[in-house]
Amino acid sequence: MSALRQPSFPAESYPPKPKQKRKQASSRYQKTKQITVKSPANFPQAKSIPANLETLSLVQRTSFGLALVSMAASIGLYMSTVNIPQLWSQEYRNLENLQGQERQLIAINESLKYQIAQQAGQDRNLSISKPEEAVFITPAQVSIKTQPNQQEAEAQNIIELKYNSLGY
Amino acid sequence: MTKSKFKIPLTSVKSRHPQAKAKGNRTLPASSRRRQKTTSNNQKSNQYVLRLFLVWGILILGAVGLTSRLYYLQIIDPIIKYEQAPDGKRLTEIARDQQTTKLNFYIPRRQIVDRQQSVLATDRITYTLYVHPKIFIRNSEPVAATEIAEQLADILENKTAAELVEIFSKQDWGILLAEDLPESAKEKIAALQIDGLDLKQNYSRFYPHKEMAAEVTGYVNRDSTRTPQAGVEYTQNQLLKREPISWKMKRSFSNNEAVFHPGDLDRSQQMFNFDDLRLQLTIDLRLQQIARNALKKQMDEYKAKRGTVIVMDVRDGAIAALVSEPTYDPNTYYKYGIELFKNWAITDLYEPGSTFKPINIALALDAGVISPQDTFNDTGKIQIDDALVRNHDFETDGARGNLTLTEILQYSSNVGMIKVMSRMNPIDYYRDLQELGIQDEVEFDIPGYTTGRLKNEVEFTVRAIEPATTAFGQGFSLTPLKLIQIHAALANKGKLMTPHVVRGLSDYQGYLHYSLPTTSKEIFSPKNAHTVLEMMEQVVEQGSGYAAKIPGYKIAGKTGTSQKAVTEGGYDKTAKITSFVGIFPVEAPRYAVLAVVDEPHGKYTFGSTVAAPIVGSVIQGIINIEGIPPSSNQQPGINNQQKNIAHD
Repeated sequence: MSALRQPSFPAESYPPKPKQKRKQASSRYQKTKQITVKSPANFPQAKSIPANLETLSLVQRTSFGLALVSMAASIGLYMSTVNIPQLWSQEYRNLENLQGQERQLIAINESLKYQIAQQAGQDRNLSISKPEEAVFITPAQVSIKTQPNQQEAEAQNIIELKYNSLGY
Repeated sequence: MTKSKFKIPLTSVKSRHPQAKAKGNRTLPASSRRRQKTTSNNQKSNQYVLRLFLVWGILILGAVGLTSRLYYLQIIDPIIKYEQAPDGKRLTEIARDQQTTKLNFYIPRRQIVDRQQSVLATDRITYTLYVHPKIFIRNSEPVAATEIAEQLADILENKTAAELVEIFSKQDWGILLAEDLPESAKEKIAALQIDGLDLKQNYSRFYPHKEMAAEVTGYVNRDSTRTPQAGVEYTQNQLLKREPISWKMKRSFSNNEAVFHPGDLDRSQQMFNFDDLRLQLTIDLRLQQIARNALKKQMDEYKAKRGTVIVMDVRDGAIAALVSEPTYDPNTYYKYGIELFKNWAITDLYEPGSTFKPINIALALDAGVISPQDTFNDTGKIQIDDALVRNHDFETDGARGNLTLTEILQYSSNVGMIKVMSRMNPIDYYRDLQELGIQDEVEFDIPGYTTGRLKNEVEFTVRAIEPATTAFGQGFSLTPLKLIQIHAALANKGKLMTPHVVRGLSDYQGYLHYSLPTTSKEIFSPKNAHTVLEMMEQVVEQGSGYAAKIPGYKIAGKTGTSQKAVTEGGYDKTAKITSFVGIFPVEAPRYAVLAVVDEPHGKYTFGSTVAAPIVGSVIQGIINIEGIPPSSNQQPGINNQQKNIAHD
């Protein structure tokens, strides 16, 4: 490594003498100056850009814009969908959990019903109620005044509208 | 300023090492000239090239070496040990196996519910535990069998740790340790995280109400085939069974939890194609219980061999309760004898005896050979050909003299019935009996229905004793189900309905989604059917059916005590079969109730003492459950409500 770092030019020439350097620089400057002096006459005037160039730049700008938009859209899409498997799995576990709970609830609930029925059957203090102990209440007579026909007609209209809005 | 500082050495380096950099450099001609001048410089740059190639060569060699080693490891001799992978499986297959999983969706056999949506049969998930002591491993560390035995003993509860250790020492693989483990035990065993404990998931049928509706629901085999064996489970298998659904799905893991990738599946694959439909029965569990308790009480009291109670809705043939004792617990069906799995109320024939008398009267009324006002002379006994037929109470009451049709039923007079039916031409009588469908097949929701038996046509018409014995319900046989179907027709204005216990497929809200239409056939004229019903009412009010009487309600009924026919011909002198059929309310009939008790023992074993109280309790139960008010003439104030309930 150190060998590579060794300067390969004569040590005395580094740092270069300021005089020579300045000379070189100035001569270069002169050269370029000459060119710049000459060039303005040949330079095309930037009055109008050719139409095809203008359309090309327009195409470039719009495609750039489109690229940006599609990038943003794809990142957005990715972000919105990357979690779907996770969410799906979570919901699936949830479903399994609920199904398990439902199974247990049904089993326990029905077993309890059975046990209560069995105990009630064995208990001598309990007896089946007799019909003569029951109170039968006749339903109250509904007076015609409380049911105006108009209301019924309105209710019918509402139902009709509901079905009309379905479109078939 | 800084720019110029860096620029100077850079340009000079460039100028002195042209071979390392691009040839298009403007300083190239000047530097090449300088190289030619200094040979020492040239030698040095050759060295650099050499070094460069050396380094490059080493790197390339390293890369080639690594690639070949990788090829060797991956393709030629993979040292990845994947224990579950069987021999001959390629790495891609092993990888696919690891990355995909099979999701088994929970698609249980449909539930069976009663009229009130009480669940009679449902599916449970149970687990079978297999143990492989050879691979007792937790997190790739071997675990001692004693430790596992202790932990399992706590979970299983029926075996001690020492017993388990002994079992483990006998076999290395595949020990079937426990069956029917509940889901809670599965969670505990899975939490141990031991490789050698293998849980296999099964579905098993659970009947929470045990024997309460066993004769209706039937049962399903415990093995993996889950073949339905009896009852509704058997006949409605097409509605109940559902094919299991499982899909192969990509799976990854995140935070120790499985993440499934359902996106790879087609849209057409219906993953959750399940509904909440359940098979609903017309059985009312409360009524079933009341009927069973009442039947059991009487059977215990009279030490009877067997008994049955059927409650039928006369308007559509729906069976509200169907009890036959003795029965079994479908959860542990394998502990019971095979003879219990048939429902004898459907499969066994018996001679109905006096309970058939009202039907005969209805036939005679329809034939126009008698009128409701006719009277018949009951002589107590009657000689037909070489046989002497007597009334059951001839010894105590002798000849009763002139009896109306109602009185014939009230006293259950055999002689009276023979005289009534003798007015019918035997061949017409025979045709009418055939018309009742006694010998026809009944499409019932419980398997094993046996068609009834009549004597053959020639025998019936030639021998006078045949129509005579048929007049009081002997000499032919039918099932209890057929008998109540005909009685229900009497109550249903003469229309014979097909009995059924399946209401249809209903959802959790109780709305029906599928049901079979009911069929009917008129076998009696509505007027005569009602006349007979009113006669039967007097049987309960003033006759032998007093035990089924409930104050305030109009109940029609008929007792029956018949001798049992023996297979060798003739009748058993001691064995009796007692029955009672009740219909109520008479003004707008809704329910027909039949109780049959086979071979009761004791002093007073008649339909009136053994079977009638059962029907009484059942009718009382129906009144309580349905809230049926007393009949109108007893309490005139509630006439309207009665009609509403009776017709809804």
